[in-house]
Amino acid sequence: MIFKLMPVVIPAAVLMLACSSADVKESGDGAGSQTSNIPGIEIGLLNETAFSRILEENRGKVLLVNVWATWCVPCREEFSDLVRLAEFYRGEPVAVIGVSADYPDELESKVRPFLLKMKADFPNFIQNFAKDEQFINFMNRNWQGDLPATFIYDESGEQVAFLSARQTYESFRTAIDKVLKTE
Amino acid sequence: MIKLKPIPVILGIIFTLLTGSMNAGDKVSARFENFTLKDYNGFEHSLYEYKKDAKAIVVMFIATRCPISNAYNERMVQLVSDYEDKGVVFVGINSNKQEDIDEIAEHAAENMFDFDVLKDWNNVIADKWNAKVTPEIFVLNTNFELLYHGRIDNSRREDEVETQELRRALDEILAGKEVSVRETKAFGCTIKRVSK
Repeated sequence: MIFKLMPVVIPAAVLMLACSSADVKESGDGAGSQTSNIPGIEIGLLNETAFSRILEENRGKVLLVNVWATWCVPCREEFSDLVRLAEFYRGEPVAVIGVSADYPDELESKVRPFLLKMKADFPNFIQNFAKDEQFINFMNRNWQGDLPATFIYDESGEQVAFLSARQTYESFRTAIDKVLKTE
Repeated sequence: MIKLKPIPVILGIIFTLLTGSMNAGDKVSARFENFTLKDYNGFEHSLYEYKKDAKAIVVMFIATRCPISNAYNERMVQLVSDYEDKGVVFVGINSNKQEDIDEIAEHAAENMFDFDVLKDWNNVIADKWNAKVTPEIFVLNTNFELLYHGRIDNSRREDEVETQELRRALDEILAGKEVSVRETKAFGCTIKRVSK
């Protein structure tokens, strides 16, 4: 892996400044609903620590995590629905996060151009677990690695839904609203 | 006061918990049922016919359009070349709804696949086997029990491969050993299924 993870603790003020650099972030700095208002699109590196932080930052919200890749046609097809979804729930207790399963060294050549093209105005990450299988099992042991895959967490951070294969705006909405209604 | 559920319901729940459904990665795997599918030339093939003279049967769910599956084309051809003479039979299955016979035939010719590629219309076999991605491998013994399920190796980039789980499983089978790693996972393209 080109990008090595470093245990970093950055004060919030520094983090805010760093966000504008539109660069790759280590360990998911800036993870959460407060990131990405496009320009260069901030993309974090996702590992277990970063994911725990995302869950923590989004406690009290319904969190939708979509795993996609630039080589995955249905992922690209559903992405505009994801963008629309994030826009719809803006200001609501719902967070949308995208995680690319491309290689971190494809970030500039493939991932960022795609996210810019799609105007992905929500926090974005690229998975940076040591092994793909580690990430797959971390997300859900029943997941076989098929993309796209979407995971929904309730306000306590518990995974309550796993959506395999291509979704639509409506099916995303249905899945989120179901969790919202039960809270 | 908590009301007890009727006994048949409780028994049913217990039975479901005990049996579950047969997943590909289950340690004690059931015998896979026979099926018959046509290859891209229109010839019928049954799973059980591949038993003849075989020491193991490698069933590969593959695709014509999936970049990950395609990244493994040469590796699959090499695997067949390396293991066919040792008694391993390779069979490809295409379950993707949008990939038709002509496309599969062209793809097989372009990539010099020297193994059968069967068309699984309506993803019947993919559903039965719970195959999710391409490429996805199932290695069966001659009693059609699962010995290995998962990826070919650990990297879609050939020059970054560190572990070759399929080769290791085949080597162990051919050596008469237990398969040490029976289940692996990797990113792949979802098998595009018909709506049912």
